[in-house]
Amino acid sequence: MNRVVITGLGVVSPVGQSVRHYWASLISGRSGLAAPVLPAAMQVSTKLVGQVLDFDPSQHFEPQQIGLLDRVSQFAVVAARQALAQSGLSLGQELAERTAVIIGTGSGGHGTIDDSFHRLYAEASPRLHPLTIPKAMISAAASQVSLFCGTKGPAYAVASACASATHAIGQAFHMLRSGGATCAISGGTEASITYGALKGWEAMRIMAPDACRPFSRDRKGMVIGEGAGIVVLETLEHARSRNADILAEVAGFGMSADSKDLTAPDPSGMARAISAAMMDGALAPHTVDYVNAHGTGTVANDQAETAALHTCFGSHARRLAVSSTKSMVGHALGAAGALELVAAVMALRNDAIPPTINYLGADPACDLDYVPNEGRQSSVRVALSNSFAFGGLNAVLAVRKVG
Amino acid sequence: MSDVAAEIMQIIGTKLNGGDGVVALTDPLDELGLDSLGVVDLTFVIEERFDVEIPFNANFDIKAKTVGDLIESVEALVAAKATLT
Repeated sequence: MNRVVITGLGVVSPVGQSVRHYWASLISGRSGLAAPVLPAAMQVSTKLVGQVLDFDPSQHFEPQQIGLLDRVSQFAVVAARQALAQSGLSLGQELAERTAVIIGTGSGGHGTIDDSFHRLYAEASPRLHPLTIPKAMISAAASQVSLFCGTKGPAYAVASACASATHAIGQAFHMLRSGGATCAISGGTEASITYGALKGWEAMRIMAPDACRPFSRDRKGMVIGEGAGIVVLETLEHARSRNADILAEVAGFGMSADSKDLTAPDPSGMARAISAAMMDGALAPHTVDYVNAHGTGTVANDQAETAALHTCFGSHARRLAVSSTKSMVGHALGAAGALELVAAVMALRNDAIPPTINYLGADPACDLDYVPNEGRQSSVRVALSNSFAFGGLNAVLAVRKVG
Repeated sequence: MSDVAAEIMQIIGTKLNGGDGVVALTDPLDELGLDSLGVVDLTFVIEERFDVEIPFNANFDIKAKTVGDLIESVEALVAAKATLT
């Protein structure tokens, strides 16, 4: 079995379009959440979203390329290029064939679908753009990352709603560990702040009207975000053979399904995924210093996740630093797990923990150290990144320093 | 009891006890025997019936509100709509 390490990171997020800017925002507690910017005719009651407002495709793509790429693919390609550049990998023919691309997304080219169906149903247009299907397909981002980065190994998309990116990276980890590939470009992307999707979220009645304040008393729900997070994975052996700068080791990966309820979170399902990741990496609970929580800000999730952490960590739970960077970035759905894994890796690298902002005080059902409002310097040996999706699909990654 | 109130009580009744439920105005929404998604679905059915938008957040309104509160807000929305048209 190969050991697997991370040698490159890339992000497009509401608080920065490079890892440097993203991390600087997170550690200083800067929020990227604001009122949605949508065409005037599209009336929504959503007060807050995490949009990547200053993303300019023309800075990243040729004019003839932009029309082929839904926003969800643009985000993924931009983040993948950053990660690949940081890794320093050069994908010659042989290595390209041994490099996988596995990209998670909750809903793929949602913007293309929304716009196309609006043309048909509202404007009674008789035809659609010829590339509607290949732009909107859920695997479009995986294909585009492979095309732009020149990979020729296994490539596909993974979908598990809000856990998509974590499942994707976990799959890439397994593939490299078992020898199915040598390198992987993996993560998640989402660009579904569209009129249709926001109306769908509003109908669930779980969106925060004021702020995203995970684990806090008086929290009022979640805030939808968008963006992409991508990591470059490779076997430890390969990374060492080329003297790569190793950012972290993927220590373990755990998955579970609640098999209980479509939307209500289940602490026992969450706990099974966390325990599976710990067992996979043979990690003792007391070695874990930081948990980047799923922490959506809904009453139900945060309470259930707290209970799951108590179950898995026992008395060590109160010594964990647990924070939700969704308080600043929003919930980027299929990209969330990758954006959050990047935060966890940066926490390891910098021995620093980003805060949970907008925290007003303790909720009796959420009684851990949530790193309220201010980031801190603190040694991080092992960090977890939790993702718990609608439909009861759970995935947890563990990363550690490589000594 | 207004027509709106009577109809809402009846709609809630059809969702409970195998379609034969009885509710009181003072019943809290989180004690009807519906889960939170059930209450959200009920809100949607009432919105569709009266063509109004009920401000309702499942994170905090379920605990804070009773059947009577829900009826009151729908009555106010229906009255406001009548004034507009």
